[in-house]
Amino acid sequence: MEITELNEKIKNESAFVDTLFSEIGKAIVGQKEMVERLIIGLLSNGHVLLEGVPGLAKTLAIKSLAQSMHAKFQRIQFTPDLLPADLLGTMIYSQKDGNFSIKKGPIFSNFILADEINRAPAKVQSALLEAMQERQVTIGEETFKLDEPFLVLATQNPIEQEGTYPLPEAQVDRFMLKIKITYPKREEELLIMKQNVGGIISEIKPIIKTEDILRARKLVHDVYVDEKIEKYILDIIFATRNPEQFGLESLKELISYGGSPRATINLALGAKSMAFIKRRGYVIPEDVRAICMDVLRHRVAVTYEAEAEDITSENIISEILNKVEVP
Amino acid sequence: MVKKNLKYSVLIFFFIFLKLEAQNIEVYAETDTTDYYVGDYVHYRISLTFDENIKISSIALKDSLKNLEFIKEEPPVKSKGNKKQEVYRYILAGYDSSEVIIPPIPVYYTVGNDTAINVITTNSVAIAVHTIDVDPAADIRDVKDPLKIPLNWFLILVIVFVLVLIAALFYLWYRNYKKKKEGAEIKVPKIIIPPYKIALKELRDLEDKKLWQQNLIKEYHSQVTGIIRKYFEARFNLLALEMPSSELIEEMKNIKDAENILDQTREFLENADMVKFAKFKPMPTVNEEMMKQAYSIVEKTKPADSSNELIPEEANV
Repeated sequence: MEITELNEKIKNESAFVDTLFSEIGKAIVGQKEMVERLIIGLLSNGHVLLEGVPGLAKTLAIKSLAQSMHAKFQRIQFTPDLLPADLLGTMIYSQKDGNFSIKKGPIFSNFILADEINRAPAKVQSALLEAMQERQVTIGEETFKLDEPFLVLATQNPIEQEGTYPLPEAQVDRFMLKIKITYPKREEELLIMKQNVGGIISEIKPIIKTEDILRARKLVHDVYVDEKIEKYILDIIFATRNPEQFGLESLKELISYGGSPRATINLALGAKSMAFIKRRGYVIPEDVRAICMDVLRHRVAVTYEAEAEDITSENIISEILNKVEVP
Repeated sequence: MVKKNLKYSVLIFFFIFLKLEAQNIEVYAETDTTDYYVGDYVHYRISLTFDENIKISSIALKDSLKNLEFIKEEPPVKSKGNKKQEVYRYILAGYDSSEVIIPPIPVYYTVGNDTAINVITTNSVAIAVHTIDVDPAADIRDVKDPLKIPLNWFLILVIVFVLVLIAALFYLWYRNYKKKKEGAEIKVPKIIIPPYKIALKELRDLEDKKLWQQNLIKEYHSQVTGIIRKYFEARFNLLALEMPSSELIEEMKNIKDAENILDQTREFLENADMVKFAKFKPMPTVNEEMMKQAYSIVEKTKPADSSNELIPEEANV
């Protein structure tokens, strides 16, 4: 397909993104970046982890996204006493016919909101993350494919760490994006107050079908990524692993380990989805940079030295982005 | 009767002879003094004098001690004369004040090739262990004075030598460093060529390469934008090579000298981006136009007073 033709096609097919934005905007004031990243996760078939202090509309955003589509949505509140079977389903013995029958769990939905994922013990997190990766669940001896689209949107609270089970690095890596949500602006907060106090929150209606998402995903795959952009992505990832090769010797002692090949894949996919949202048929460096922080912040681990100096993975990624040459 | 007396005489002679044989070993135990304070070392010695053919097997001191602690055994002192002499030395200690009797200690030995073990015991030794008299009215003082360590002149000499050596090495390093620094300061002043002259020269060189004419269009657009980005980096002190086009334009909005080229630069960079990242194949006129735009951007932003500056050829860039 010629680039002009592809560009035109994407311009037409991505029109729903604006509608989706405005529909979600009925419930969510501001947080445009968060909503944009949720849609990127949806288009890239990648799961999203949201982190932010309580009350920043994490749950509401995910709920609104799910409500704006004709799709099955389940919210699971993760608690310390949750069991894998509560999530995946289990075999139930029927006294009537003397057989075991399968009772599917809430994971058999299109959108899963795993609320406060770090409150459940490791075995539950592991069960969820395995399902996220394999996109199938085995109950008893039977394996079930999960519905498409299947998207897990998990939330995590950075405060109140007592009694929580932080996700191990290997499992956090399975989330395509880790979005950090900050407080809204002053004028946005005013609007939030007015809407909530005045009871003028509009109801979100389903405007997209799951087939639209699956079709959009195919188009996202067709978005053109030039070899210069591919090289740029690789440069960024390799700078997280070997910063000294990019003139960033000072970062060598601060990085415990850099981005994995999964990070490379997700950065390329995320950039493609970003181009799609911007209604372009090709990726430009801006797309890579826009999504880079959310793809890498949970994949670049800092050393004790960095922690002691209050240097976060975000500081490191920013420095890398300011050093790696744009094509 | 005579016969009977003779029999008894032989028997008596035999026993006397045996008794003499058994007394070829003599043993004597003693201590260095008889009065000790609690905790003092009791130097206990067992002296043995015996014939050549006698061999001492063991001395059962530890098992025989009561009211005294066995501290250690020192190597025995052995000497040879007409008879063998061995002195076994032990250090004991008493921790209770009392009259203590070191009981007779059995000494086991063998004679010649006979494997039978014989035993002889030492004399007992009486000692007295006293407590220290404490004067409750007196000042508190150490039980013992601190030990005085004698000066080790050799060690002091070694330390002084090492310190002198370190000082000498530091002095040599400092002299060398100072010399180097002085040398570095006499450098020929660096010729600074203004960024716009470098950019103009690079644009001319790029033109001469005729890249787009050889169908290297993408390469041509990358290089022409690269020259302009490098120029912006030097001219406006921006990280232009590390910024995507939109971010670069945003940054340039804050620079007064760049106000007149904002729209032009935006169009220039966006056109190049289309070629670089979107497989766009521009017309030859567009390629020519890109070069014109590049020259124009540099010309419009060069400093007003630039008549006396060196051009790159003069400075051998």
